[in-house]
Amino acid sequence: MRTYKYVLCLGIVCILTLGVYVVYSSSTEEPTFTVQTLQGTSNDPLVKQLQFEFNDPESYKTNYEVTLKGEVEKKRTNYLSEFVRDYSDVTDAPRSFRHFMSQIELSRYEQDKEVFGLHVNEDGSWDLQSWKRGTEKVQTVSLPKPAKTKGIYYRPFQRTKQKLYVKRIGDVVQKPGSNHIYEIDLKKKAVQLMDLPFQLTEEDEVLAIYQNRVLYRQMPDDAKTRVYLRDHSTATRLKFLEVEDMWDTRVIDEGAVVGMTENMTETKIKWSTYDLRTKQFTQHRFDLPKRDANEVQRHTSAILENDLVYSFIETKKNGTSILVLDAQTEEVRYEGTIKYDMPKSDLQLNGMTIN
Amino acid sequence: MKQYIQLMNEEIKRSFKIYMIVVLAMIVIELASIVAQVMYHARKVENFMELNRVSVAEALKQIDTLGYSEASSFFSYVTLIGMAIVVIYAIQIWYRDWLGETKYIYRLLMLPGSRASIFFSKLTTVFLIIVSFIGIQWCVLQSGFYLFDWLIQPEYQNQSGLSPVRNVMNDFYTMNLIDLGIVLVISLFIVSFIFLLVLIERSFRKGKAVIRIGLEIFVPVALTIGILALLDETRYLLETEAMFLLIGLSLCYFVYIIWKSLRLLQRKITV
Repeated sequence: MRTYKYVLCLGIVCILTLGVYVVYSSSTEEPTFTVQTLQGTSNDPLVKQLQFEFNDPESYKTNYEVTLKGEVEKKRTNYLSEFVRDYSDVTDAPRSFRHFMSQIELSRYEQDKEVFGLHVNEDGSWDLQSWKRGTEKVQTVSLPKPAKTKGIYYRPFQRTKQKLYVKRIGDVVQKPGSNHIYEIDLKKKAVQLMDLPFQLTEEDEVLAIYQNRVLYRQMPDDAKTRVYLRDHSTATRLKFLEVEDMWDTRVIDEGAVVGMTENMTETKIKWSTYDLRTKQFTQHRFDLPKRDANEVQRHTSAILENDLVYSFIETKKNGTSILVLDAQTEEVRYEGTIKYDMPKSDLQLNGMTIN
Repeated sequence: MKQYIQLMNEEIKRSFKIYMIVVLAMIVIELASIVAQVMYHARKVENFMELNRVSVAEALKQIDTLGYSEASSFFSYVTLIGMAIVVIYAIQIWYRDWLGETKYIYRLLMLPGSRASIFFSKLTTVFLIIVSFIGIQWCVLQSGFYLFDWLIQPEYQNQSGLSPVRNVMNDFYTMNLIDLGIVLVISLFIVSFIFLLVLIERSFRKGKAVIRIGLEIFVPVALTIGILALLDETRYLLETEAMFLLIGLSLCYFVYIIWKSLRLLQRKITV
């Protein structure tokens, strides 16, 4: 025994000290999550894919992904997984699509759970791939070089039935302008330059197209941004859409309506819609239930996606309240709360994702 | 096996005194740094109160409360010093056998049986030192928190994130045991690489040794850069696939380092 005195001594030091760390890190308590549905159903296809990510500050590399069906997935990251973290947001897609989306010069667009990737090849031809979330179906379209193309920066911005609209977003020097609009026929697998009744300039950015009506914003370098609706040869300025808060626009109803969310507060959710069919502008507002004055509100967010307004408000006492509203009718599609129980620690909500 | 453990015991015995001195010095420095941080913060608050004739609350609004993360800031420097000591030790563990007055290496090389036990006893010794440093540092971090909590006045303490886990080293002690495994594997890899360089230097004449050491460093670095550039350019593999490829190549290279080191020790190094 004396022959191995030093080995034993150092071995015991290693086991005892590192053992403390091993025991400490494996004995961290697990939170329990409770999802309460107040209105609607979590089986709704546009609701069930909502995911909320909570982080444990005590073990900051541990995240909990909670769905509205109450399913909890514990995700632990380590040095290696952080090194190869996939930021593409298409991790569930087939390998060929993920590979396509990993290209550098690629424009990505998502509408109604369908993800599009557009890549401009060196010879000017286009490669388009699309993937419908929740399926294994990938559509690949190779398109010849369209007329009047220049540069490589083109971005899809709207899908209406079997048509995908693409705008040019600048040359080598990126300038937000879309002087040409291209229409990709997903069924016929063909692309053509749109014959617009007027000429767009480098300063124009198209927001939506509905039949022969074009909603666009003009952004001159030295003047205020203006929004116009162009109908044949007449252009109408829409001042109510020139609010800075409303710059993040989304197409609803396949381009017939444009929606914009405003900053959500603890008392209300506000958003606006503009219908290109009826030329009607509507401001929507949903009042949230009153909360205790001393209740700390931590995190609020409202986003427009899949023709719905997804919002949440996180408070320390009441957990996370979720509201899903129809963007046009204001009807409540889903209402619920997520609460967690973790006596010693306090979880932090990282955010909401729609898969 | 018996010879391997006996040799390892001998290696540890020869470094035990210096090891104990280093460990105790590190513990004392780290705990003293916490005491100093708490006292410095308290004096800063008191001086501010005296100079501006304000209350504690107002002074803390300006100076800010002290959290364990800030109080333990010195630990990261001590950890870096610990890393440097391990690197020096990985070199010294070989050279002391050649450069010492007793020429201990001759006795080692003359021992009956495989010379692999010499190599692995030294490698295990350095590895155990690394493991003990990591474990001791964690225990000191934990003890430091209780010392901090006991020393500091409650109103001076930053109440948010009041936990021994939230310290300056939480990027290292991530509470994920896979990370601990990765750190240990990388440490073992680096130590083996240092061993290989030392054995090359001992196996060849000066000029040839320099060229071979240069090649041993240049080839893997150039290959890694080349592979990463190729993967980035072709984008043939997804991130996870590229990671598995690199892990596989690193494993192969690790096996090569061990094989080459043993070959040099058994065939090139002579008494």
